[in-house]
Amino acid sequence: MNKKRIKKSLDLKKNWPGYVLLAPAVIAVFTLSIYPLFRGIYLSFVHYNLVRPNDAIFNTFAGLDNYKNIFSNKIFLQSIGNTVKWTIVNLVIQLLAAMLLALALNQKLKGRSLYRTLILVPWAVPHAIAAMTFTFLFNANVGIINILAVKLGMITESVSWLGNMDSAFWCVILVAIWKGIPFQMIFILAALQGISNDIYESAEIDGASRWQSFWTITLPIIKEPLAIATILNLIGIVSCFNTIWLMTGGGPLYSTEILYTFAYREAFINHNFGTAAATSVILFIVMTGFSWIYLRLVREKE
Amino acid sequence: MKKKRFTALLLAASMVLGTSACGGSGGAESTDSSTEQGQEQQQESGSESTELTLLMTNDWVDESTDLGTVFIKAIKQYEGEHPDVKINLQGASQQDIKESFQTAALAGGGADIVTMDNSGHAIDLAAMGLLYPLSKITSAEELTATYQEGPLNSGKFQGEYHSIPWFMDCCGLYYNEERLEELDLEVPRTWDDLAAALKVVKDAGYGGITTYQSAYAFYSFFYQNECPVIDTSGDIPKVVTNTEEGKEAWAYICDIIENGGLVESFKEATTWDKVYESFVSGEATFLLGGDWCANSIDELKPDMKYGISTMVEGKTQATVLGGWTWNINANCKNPELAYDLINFLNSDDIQPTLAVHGQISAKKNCDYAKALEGRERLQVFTDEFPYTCARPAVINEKAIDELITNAILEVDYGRASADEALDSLTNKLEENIQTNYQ
Repeated sequence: MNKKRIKKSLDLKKNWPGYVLLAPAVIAVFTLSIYPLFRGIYLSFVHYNLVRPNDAIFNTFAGLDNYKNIFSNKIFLQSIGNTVKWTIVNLVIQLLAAMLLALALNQKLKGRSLYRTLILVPWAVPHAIAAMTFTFLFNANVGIINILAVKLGMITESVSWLGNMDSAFWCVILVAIWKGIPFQMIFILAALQGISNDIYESAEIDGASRWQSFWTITLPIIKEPLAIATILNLIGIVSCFNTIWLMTGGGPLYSTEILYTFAYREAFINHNFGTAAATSVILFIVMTGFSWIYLRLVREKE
Repeated sequence: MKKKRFTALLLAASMVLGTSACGGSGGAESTDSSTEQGQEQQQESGSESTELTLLMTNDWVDESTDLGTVFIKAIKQYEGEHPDVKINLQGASQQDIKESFQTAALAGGGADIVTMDNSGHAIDLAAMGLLYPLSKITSAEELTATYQEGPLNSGKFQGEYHSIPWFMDCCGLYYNEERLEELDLEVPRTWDDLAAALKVVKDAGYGGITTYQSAYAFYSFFYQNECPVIDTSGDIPKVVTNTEEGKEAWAYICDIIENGGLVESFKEATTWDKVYESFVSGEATFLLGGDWCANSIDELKPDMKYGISTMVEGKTQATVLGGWTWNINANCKNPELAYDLINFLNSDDIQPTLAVHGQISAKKNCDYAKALEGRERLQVFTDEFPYTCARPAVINEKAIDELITNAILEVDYGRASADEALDSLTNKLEENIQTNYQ
């Protein structure tokens, strides 16, 4: 009965031109997404050190060896800590800044459209260009940040912001925040524009302060789109490889190493695709969790 | 209905073709050196041509640059002499060339010939079985008779040569001439001279040495103290940083660092640009780098006079090797032809292409006087060639380099003493060798 229903709904004979049209896209998705995904999971369970292809154990089942190896690696553990710190700091600051900006740009300001456009500019700048530009700004010899800081008497000598372990992480995070705010802001702004002004006027008549209006009206109404935007942003933050790799390469001394840069290092510097794949699988599980929350929120909203 | 189906089929077919066409480009910039007219003529005559693909760094295949123009002219000359051979040139950035080739070769494809930095890439690729062993095409005697030992050994894996040297360079000492005059300092010739000069420079409020943040320049100090860092003479490489020679060399490096001999921007010098900026801006008094640095420094139009000297001498004179090699893909269908093309590009007639970029051939019979015409100040590098040593020819040399760099940074940040850093470095190097060899 069930099979019959499926067959009927597919209706191959009648719909075959549609399936033919879909085929290239389906093939592309399988080739470029599904196959690499399963291949990655497979690699995480086999011995796959590319520079030792003649080993008897090469490409044989490794059980959980790759996972054990990475969890006994200090750099991996450090990269987990950095990833968590990177994610939380980025997310909280981006969320707060985006909320403030969205609230400001939702007011009737002169030149509001211009401000909205200007604030979107960082989002449109490619990651690589943003990373290179900020690297130049932070440069110890010719960077404007050092020149200004010395002229203003904030520091006596130029500092290698990206070369010092204490500052490198915060410099890279600054770039990620600068790039990420517009994305979050645009979602919040869209949600704010859906709130009728009448509600605020009624609240004002009832004696509600601006703060009370924000907590009792604005936030409850925008909470769903806000949550969706936050989850989407979270996925973007965790997978922000380019900015870190181009600015610091995960250094100095792994102080900016996150899981993505660790996986890249394992694959392309140490040539151990087994441990690189195991790291990627862990990231995949985390990302799946975020995606699942996102999908649930979207479904609830619908 | 039939018309609709036909249209749908046609659309689907075109989409599939479009997808495969996109995939075929491989993302690499491709420059076909043969003229379209030539291709048409070949097709018309029905003659079968052999194709060879060369993967080079972008500069060499970009016809809008002097270098590209001269190189492509040489390629066309080869095609003219071998009408049945068609050569395709592909470009990649210097940073990506190894990964580009590796990915394609692992998938069973890739360019027939790839040029690569001689800093250990060839060993990695040979270990992966992606390079064609040269013993199948030529003899070790012929190679050693033709090419300098250092560049040749940079591609030697398990006793077998896998790379053909192209050009070579080595590390020299650049110095700010005006500053040395101002401080009444001679150009340092020995370890002691350098240490003393750094002290004077620092006391005068100037910065000391700048160099690329890697083990590259620091290998020289080990070699000058007769320590190869990793001894590759046996079947399994052996870490020798904890020998007396190694300890002395490491202590000398750490003394320089602990006495503030490295400039602040060394901490972020992950590209050579930052090294040049540091030197040209006057932050650094000395720069450790190869002959290519001279061009880049001049391009920045420095507001000072600078000189170049050979690396300082320790127990012995030594410096670290740089340069590029030709490598034949293990998947190449015609390795003999690939080798012939490499020989042509390495021949004395074609070698002037290197002069455009200011590089010196790695061939033993290279006429240095001719190669250095108009660039006589670079002679210090050719003077160093006889005692130039290659970086350890071990698997994952990049990881080894990273470990040494990190040990230097640990000392620079004051996170570890010289002894602690050396112990930790030796252990990590041994672990690395164990992972890759045992």
